[in-house]
Amino acid sequence: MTILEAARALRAREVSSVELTSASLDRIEKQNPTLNAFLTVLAETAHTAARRADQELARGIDRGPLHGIPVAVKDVFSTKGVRTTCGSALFADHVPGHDAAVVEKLAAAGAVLTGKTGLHELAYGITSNNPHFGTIRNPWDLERIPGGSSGGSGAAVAAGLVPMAMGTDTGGSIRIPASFCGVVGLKPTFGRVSRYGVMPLDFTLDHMGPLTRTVRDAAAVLNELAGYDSRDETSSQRPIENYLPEQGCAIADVRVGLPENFYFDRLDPEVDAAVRSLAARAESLGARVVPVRVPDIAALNLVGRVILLSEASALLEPFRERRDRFGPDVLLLLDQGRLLPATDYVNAQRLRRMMQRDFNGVWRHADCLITPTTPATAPRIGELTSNIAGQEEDVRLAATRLVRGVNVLGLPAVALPCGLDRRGLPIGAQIIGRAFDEALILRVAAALEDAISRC
Amino acid sequence: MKNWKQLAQASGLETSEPDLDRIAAVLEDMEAKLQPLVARIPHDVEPPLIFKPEAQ
Repeated sequence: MTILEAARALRAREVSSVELTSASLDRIEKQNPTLNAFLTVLAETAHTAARRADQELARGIDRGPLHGIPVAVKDVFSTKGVRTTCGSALFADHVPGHDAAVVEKLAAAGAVLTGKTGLHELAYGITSNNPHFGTIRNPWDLERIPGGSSGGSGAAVAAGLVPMAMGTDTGGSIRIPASFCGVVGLKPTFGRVSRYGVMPLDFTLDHMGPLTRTVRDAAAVLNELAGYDSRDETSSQRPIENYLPEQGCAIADVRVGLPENFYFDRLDPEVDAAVRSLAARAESLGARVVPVRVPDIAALNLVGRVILLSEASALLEPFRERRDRFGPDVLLLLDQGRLLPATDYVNAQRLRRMMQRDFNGVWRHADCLITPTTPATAPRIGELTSNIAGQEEDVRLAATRLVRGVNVLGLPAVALPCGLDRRGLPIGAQIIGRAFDEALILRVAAALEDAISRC
Repeated sequence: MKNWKQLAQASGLETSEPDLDRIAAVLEDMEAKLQPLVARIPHDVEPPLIFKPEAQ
């Protein structure tokens, strides 16, 4: 059941929050030993919250569509009195004294927190093959990765353990698991959702957003989470709006940009075909699909890597002597970041400013872009390279190739499933919009999702 | 061209020779791609990192 379906059923008294939560916890108990999607399950507090939600709804207190809905958060969101590991041995016993802003807002919206999902160590990688807490598996094929770093959230939603799990995205960490697990992943504009209380990987690239089964569910969650927070210095004071697309929403007024360069280079042919087919579907719905040339995204990705390597290594510098507490892939990245000169970091930030100006030109021709999310479907666990369109490519660099640049620019993007490959694995498309134009990309994504579901 | 392995050793990085090779290869590649971009930055472009003295 989706969030919005469950919300309707709760208000029609067809189901209770206690029933929804018990069913969710039962599924977690049965499937988590295989998937390893959850690091911590909060059965007792979830039952208490569910009973409270039922009582409130019975008394006419309605906190909105998340009221009484079982959810989960990635284990980088601080939870007061509940272990928050960040998927790291360094924080294996860390118990915060406060909730993250996102956790506060979910609680205020009446959501029922069932637990905390696993992730790639320190949210610094895309496999979610965690050396300290075990391998997270993709529900579509247990021998494949769910993507990352929000791999537990992707797996949990795809397996139907919860209808929504929060993720974070520094270089694609919401959208990559959404693509590999066949669910929706929303990365809002930088500053739209508060970072307060989230264990950071990076100061200027981290974003918070939901993974859900439908686009409208993601929009409903954003409605609850968006807004200014004085505790996060990068939080935006721009007014929020209603992000939930109407049923039967139209996109005839939208110019959908289909990139002529970069985004369709070196793709698995089935991914290429599925995303182009989605663009054709947008056209059949009346949208004007326009070819656009995008600025140098490879350079944008490089700038993103320099910034991330530098900021993540600076952040974790206090732990540099505790090398045995890091997994080998994360350690390698931290060592790389420590060696980068400060001049490279500052110049990467200056290039970021220039590229932001360049990219703004795209919006003269299109209102959003449609691209693949990942160039291929989920790789096998343990694979270090993937052969994509006849070329061997590092799995991490391949998975982040089409998503990292959006983090550098801080733009909103939503990933949605758009088909299956020959192995039955999900293919993901990405819709990128102007800063703070989440409403438009969600409308386009919802219209496309509606059209796909009608087929 | 920087000698990344010597830089790593000088900075006290304790890691295996194969890892050192991997680190050096990545950084060399990144530096080679970054420098032509840096050469094109106009002098008046500032990084988007603003210090606000009134902020807490």
